[in-house]
This record gives sequence, C-alpha cells and structure tokens, in this order.
Amino acid sequence: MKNRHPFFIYLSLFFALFLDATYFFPSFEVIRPPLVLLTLIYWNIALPDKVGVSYSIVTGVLSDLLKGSILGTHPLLFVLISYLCQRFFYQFRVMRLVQQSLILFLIFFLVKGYWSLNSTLFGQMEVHIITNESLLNAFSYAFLCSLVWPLVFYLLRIYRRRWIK
Amino acid sequence: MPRKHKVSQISSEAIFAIPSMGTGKAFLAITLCCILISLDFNLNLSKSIRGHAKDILQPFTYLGILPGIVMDNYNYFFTSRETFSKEIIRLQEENEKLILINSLLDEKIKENRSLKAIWGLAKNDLENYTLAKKLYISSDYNSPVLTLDISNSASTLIPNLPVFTKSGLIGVTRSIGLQHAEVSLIHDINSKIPVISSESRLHGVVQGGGSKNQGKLINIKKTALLKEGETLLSSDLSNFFPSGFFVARVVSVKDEPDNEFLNVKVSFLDMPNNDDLFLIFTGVNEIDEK
Repeated sequence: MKNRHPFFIYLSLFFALFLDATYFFPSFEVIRPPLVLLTLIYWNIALPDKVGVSYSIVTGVLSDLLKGSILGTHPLLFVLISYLCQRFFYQFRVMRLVQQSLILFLIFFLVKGYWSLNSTLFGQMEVHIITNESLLNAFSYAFLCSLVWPLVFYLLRIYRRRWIK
Repeated sequence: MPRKHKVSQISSEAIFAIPSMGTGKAFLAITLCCILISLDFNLNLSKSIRGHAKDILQPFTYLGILPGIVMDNYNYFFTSRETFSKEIIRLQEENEKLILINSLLDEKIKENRSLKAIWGLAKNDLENYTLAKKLYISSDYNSPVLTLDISNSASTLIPNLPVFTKSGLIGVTRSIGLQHAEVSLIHDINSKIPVISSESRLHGVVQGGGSKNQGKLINIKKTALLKEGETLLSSDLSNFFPSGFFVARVVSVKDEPDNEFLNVKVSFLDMPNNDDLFLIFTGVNEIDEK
C-alpha cells in the first residue's frame, strides 16, 4: 500500500491539472479557482511527510507547459505555498473548515496579486495591479477559491481514505 | 531503516511529529525556480520543448473534458431500450427537419444571388421596377407564357409592361390578376418589340418565332448596313420599353431576290427556365408623359 502513495497523489494532481487546462468562457477564466493548487494544498496538509517539493515542481512545470506561461512561474508559486502549508499544517489542520476557507481567501488574494505582478514583469501588456477591476477580480477569485475549498477538501479526503490511507 | 518519528529522549516513546518540508529544501527549490524563470525569460529556453510537451500532454487534456462527457452520457446508462427507441425517433425527426431547413436555406441562397444580379439591372431606377417571382412557364410551342407571382405589387401593375431577367428583356405582361400575372414572352410568334441595333443604329421591330425557332427583324430595307452578331437593344420609341436593354442578337442577314426587305434572323435570350426572379418595369406612364 505504501508504494501506491505517489501514484495516487500524482493521479489526483494530474486530474486537477487537466481540469484546469479545460477552457471555459473568458469572464470565468479570470476568476476560475486553480484546482491543481487547491489539490496540492490539500496533500500538503493531509500528508506532509509524503508530499515533498518535487510534487510542486513537477506539477508547476506541467502547468507552465500546458498554460504557456514562463517556465518556473507556476513551480515558484507552488513551492512557496507548499512550504507555507507544510510549515503551518499543524495549526491549519485543526482549524474549522470555515477558518481554513478564510485563510485560503487571503492566500488566493495574494496569489492573484502574484499573477498580476507576473504579467507586469514578463507580459507584453502593462497590467495595473491596483485598479478597481483587478481588485474586484482578485476578490472574486479568492472568494470562489475559498468556496470551492470545502468541496475539494471532502472529495480528496474520501479519495485519500479509499485509495491511500 | 530510517526513523519516521521523533523519539522522546526521556522515555524513548515515539512523538508523532511529522517531518515536513525543510526550509533549506524549499529555499533550494525557490532558487531553482528563479533560475528557470530567468533562463526562460531571457533565452527562451522552453521554446524548443513546449511543442513536444504539448504533443505528449495533449491526449491527457481529454481527462479534463471527461467529467463533462460522463455527465452528458450519465442518463444513457440508465435508460431503457424503449426510451432509446423514442429518442432515436425524435432525433430522426429532428434530422429530417434539419435537412429540410438546409434545403430551404440553399434555395434562399440561390434566390438571393439571383435577386442581387437582377436588382443590379435596375440599380439607377429602382422605383420604376417591381420584383416578381416565377411560378411556371407554359409549354405552348408558339406562344410560351410565363406566370408570375405578383402578390406584393399587383395594384401597381397593368398589362403591356416589359418584363426583364438579369440578362435582358424577356417578355411583356399580358394579363394582370390579383396575385398572378401572365407574361407573353418575346419568343411568342405574336410579339413585336421595337429595337435599335447597337452599331448601325438602325430602328426596327423584332418578331418572335416560337420557343424553338429564331425570331426575325422585320421590314428592314435592303440598303441597311446590318451586320451578323450585332446586338439589338430595346428602344423607347414605342413608349412602352425603357431603352438600352438587350433583346436579341442578329444571327444571319440574307438578301433574297424575291423579297422586298432583308431576311434577318435573330436569337433571343434563352427561355427563362433557370430564372426565378423577374423585374417588371412600371415606369411606362413616366415615359408617356415625357
């Protein structure tokens, strides 16, 4: 059973990754919750001893290749968030789901800022990070992520209990 | 075997502390990512591998649409044969409707093309023309008659109005009903159209010869300099036809000793079997006034 951990964890991450790669309508794409990051957060909290930095880098590089972003931008974000999750997973794990969602709201608000900064630094177009529209987008994005979190959490918990441990 | 848990130094019992990601490891990974970003941004390193990566990853993206497919087909797994049969019948009916709609659309496209062509004919004088749709052509050999649908403009029409296809004059209205008009084609043996030749500027009258025969240009003096292949255009001398529209083409000019006039054979436009839309010239009164 022990050797099956990486396979099933990677499987869930890949599934989330390819769900993320599916294109929806443009206005939704702006605020669409990143399932792969939510899944990674879950595994970092649930199995911190099994999920190492390699998961973040592999998933991040694949995300970059699939989405066409500069190589390294996704892995950097994923490693940072994985590190934060693992550093504070004791505190995070015992929180209520609502509290977890609130923390994730703040994290994802910053994640949106990271992407805006990314676009400014590496993009062709000038993107203003602090405008009403971008703030509203970041707020909606973070809100949607925190709403989706309980669902991801419970689904992955069922998956983990059924297939991993 | 490596130790999985920290062990108390005092009691040697396992302390269930789970080892998490080390700061050093994370720092190393972050540095690696920064190098990767820098290399890719400055040297476009990933350019050469992105295409191949897409080749490999693309099949897996179908995983993303898998839930959608499953959701779409979920109901089919639990439906009975009877429901399936009903669904098939419904789809067949829908398919038939679509085929019908497609054929209607094709028809409309053809009509629009023809409308565009014919409307181009009257582009400078639109208010003096009315559009009519062909219903059928009678098979009378000597007096072919075209029946038009004039339900949109019957009140403005009178007999003896010239009717045009996109290529030129094709006939004259003979009788007007509430919704239909009968058009005597220029091929009719009784039709007589005043014309002017395009090059020699000779005035004359063209007479039909039936749907299978050529027509003739009548009463042309032997001194006339008419050439074969010359175009005969409508003339406004009769006050019935707008001038300058193609009526016929001279096929042969014969000087027969026992004939007082030249024997001039002309060919009209083909019978309008393939035309669906016609223009009726309604500016006859205006010409009269002039």
